[in-house]
Amino acid sequence: LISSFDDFGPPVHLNILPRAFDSLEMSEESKSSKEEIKGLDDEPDEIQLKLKSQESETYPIDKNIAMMSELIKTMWEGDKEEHEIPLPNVKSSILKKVMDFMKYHHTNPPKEIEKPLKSANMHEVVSEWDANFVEVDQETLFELILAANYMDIKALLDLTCAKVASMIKGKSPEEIRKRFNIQNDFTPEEEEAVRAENKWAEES
Amino acid sequence: MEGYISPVSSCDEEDEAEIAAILQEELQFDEVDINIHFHCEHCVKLKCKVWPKPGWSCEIISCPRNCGMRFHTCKLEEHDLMCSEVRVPCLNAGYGCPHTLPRCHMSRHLPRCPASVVVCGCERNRWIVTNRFRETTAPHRRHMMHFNPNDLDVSLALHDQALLNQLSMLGAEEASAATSATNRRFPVLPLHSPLTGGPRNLFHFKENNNRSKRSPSLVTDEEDLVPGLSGSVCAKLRRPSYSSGKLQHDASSTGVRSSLGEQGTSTLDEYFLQQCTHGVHQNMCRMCKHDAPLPMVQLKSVWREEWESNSDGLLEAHWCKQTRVNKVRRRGPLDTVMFYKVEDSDDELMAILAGDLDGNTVPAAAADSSEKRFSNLYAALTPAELRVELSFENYSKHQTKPRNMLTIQCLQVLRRDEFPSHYEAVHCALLGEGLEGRQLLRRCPLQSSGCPYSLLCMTAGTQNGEISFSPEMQAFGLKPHLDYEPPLPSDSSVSVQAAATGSSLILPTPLTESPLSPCPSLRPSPTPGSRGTSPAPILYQAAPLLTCLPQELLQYILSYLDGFSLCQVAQSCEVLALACAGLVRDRGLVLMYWRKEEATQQQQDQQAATTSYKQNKTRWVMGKPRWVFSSSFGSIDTWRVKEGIPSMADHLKTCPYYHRNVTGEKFSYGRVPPRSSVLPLLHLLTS
Repeated sequence: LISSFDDFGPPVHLNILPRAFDSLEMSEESKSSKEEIKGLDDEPDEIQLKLKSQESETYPIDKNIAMMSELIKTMWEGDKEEHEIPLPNVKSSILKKVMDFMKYHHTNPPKEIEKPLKSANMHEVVSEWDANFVEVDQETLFELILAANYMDIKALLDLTCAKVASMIKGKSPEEIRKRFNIQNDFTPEEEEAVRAENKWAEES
Repeated sequence: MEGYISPVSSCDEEDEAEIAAILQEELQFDEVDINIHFHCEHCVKLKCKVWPKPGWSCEIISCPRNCGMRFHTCKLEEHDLMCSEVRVPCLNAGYGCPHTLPRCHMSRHLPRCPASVVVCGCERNRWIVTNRFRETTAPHRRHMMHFNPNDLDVSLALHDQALLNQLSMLGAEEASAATSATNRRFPVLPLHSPLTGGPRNLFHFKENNNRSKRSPSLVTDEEDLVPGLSGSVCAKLRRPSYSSGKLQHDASSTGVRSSLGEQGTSTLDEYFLQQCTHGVHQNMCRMCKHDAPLPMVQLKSVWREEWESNSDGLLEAHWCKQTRVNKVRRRGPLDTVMFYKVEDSDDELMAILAGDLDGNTVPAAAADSSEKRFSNLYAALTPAELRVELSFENYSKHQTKPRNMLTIQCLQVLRRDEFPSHYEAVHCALLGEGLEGRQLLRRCPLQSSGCPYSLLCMTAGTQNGEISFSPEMQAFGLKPHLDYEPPLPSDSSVSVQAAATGSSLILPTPLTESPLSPCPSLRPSPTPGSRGTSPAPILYQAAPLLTCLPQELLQYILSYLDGFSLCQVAQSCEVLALACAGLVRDRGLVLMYWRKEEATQQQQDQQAATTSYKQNKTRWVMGKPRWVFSSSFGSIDTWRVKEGIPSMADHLKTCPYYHRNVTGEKFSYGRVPPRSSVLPLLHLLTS
């Protein structure tokens, strides 16, 4: 026994740490016990939040997963008692997609998309799941962008904006206008100016 | 070994004096360190245990910016000079880069710094199509009657041809003055970088105009390529006499009669005008110095005999009066001196550019003033005709090109880290020579007979992208082929609905409100003038559009695009152009333009003291910075052969220019003797 102590003799400070952890755990348990006393049935780590969409439909989601959205995180930290988060700017269908995204990426953090885009093929830039996620029609795509902006989910914003950028990449102005249904509202002089790239002549 | 002081040497008196002098200098430099304690000056211990004493030593601190260094407190100021966390302006701040960043990030920033600009100087050469008898060195080709303007090489050729129109902006003498030893007839095109202004600038900003290949003193290519010198060289353009299109030469230049539209006391630099016709500054031209001056006797006209064949077939002489032809002494091949007619090149230029392929000289009335002459040219070269060769060649920059050849420079402005991909994609793969170059497009073998058929046989990258040519940007672009694109919105017509509470549009949140959130592009038939007085935002469409997104989201989307795409996006609509303008500081390039300024007398004196040239009455001043996007489109990793394309043989079966020559008769090389006489011979052979 003595020899084993010599071999694996734990340094003194290690003996302190487990006790510190114990104290922390005890405080957590006390907290959860308090919550249990309050009447919630959930485990401490699996608090369910309810996200309320524009059409007043609520969708449950794990708190940890919902923390991907900075907006929800701020609202939660502001009021820990409130479990229903209203999102009046987000439609139900969009909210469902956003929740799918958050659930998938809670465990798989997405890697950063390079700027500028190396390729217009989303399958080469992001993961397979992500590329399939954004193969939706244009309206949904834009609403996803606005939802990601509103809920402040950086990964979703990156993905959707990269997808739109891949649709713009390499097209001529006329094709861009046709694709996104934009009208040409330049005066001839302005058009000439932009073409000659004088428009960005800025003084220092 | 005489100057060598060995470390262990007897101190002579001279050495002592030297050492004393050195020490004296060091003491002078030590004045700077007056704020550093005596102990701390030479103490570099990280954990110095010396007790801090005021005036003698101080305590050790670690860097307040957390770079990890530890030093005495009195050295803090010195440490800031090299601390890696200190925010410093970029090294290229003098060239316009506005960024400030911690010193440790500098090396990462520099390849992507907006001020680290490279201008691509690759050239290509094209023959101008002409059938003139004199042009025996140029291959005889007919110009193409039919062609498809969407073909890549055709659009490039049309663009090069349009550059010729720039010559119409010049006067005749200026055009010939802009030539050089290697490009003897046509100046190198484009005359100015595409980013220093297109035709618009030619009308408004005359001083931003042409750059003569004949820069003073040194014909260095770098000077011609830097866009900053666009406001420069042809000082003749700033003269009021520009409108008459004639150049005022210095009195010592030969040949050209100068019309004194402007007095010699111009405040502008006469340096540029002191060029002789040989293409160098007259102070340096040995031909002007050593050759005999032209005789002062210049006859107006002479009587000469001309021989003609009359009706009998005999030669007959008759006398006729010939007027004087102005001649110019120019460098010929192998450094000889030759005489050329002055109007010679201009006549040819005019003839060629006016589409007169037969080589008839222009009637004298039209050749009156060069301005009238060249104003006809501007309308002459239309995209409907292709007057330059479709296939181009790559001559070396320093090689003398044939007279009938155009030289076109690439002149794309690129960031330093984008240049390799540009060179590889454009100049090696697309426009290059050799096996890998110009494989993209295959033409019918009967192209020289006029067949316009072409096949695009390769696609770029792993995504089967197409290469397009944008004439506005004068650059190539890559259009990737997307496997999946969302379907176009169903209602393509603009429908206006009032914003109801139940509308499906996501209204922008108050945080992201921008003055453009009411989409200007949705108003029915917007008139650009009324944009400023728009009604209150009640117009929303059922589906959100790209232009409905707030500005910062648009900028976020556009930050994923490359330079070429950004330029195209900016031309599409006002909102997107504004978004691009916001991005230009991050993704664009900054170009500094030099401009001329009149020098005060004091500056002139300074100049005179330092240089041996004549006093310049102007000086160069750094002008405004100018932000542009580069035209790079990323790198192309692979080129793939397109699948499913028809072969050229299929086309040749039906090509209308293919005149098959099928004879009905039998063919033999020699005369075959009749059969009856052959048999005895055969018998002889076999026996």
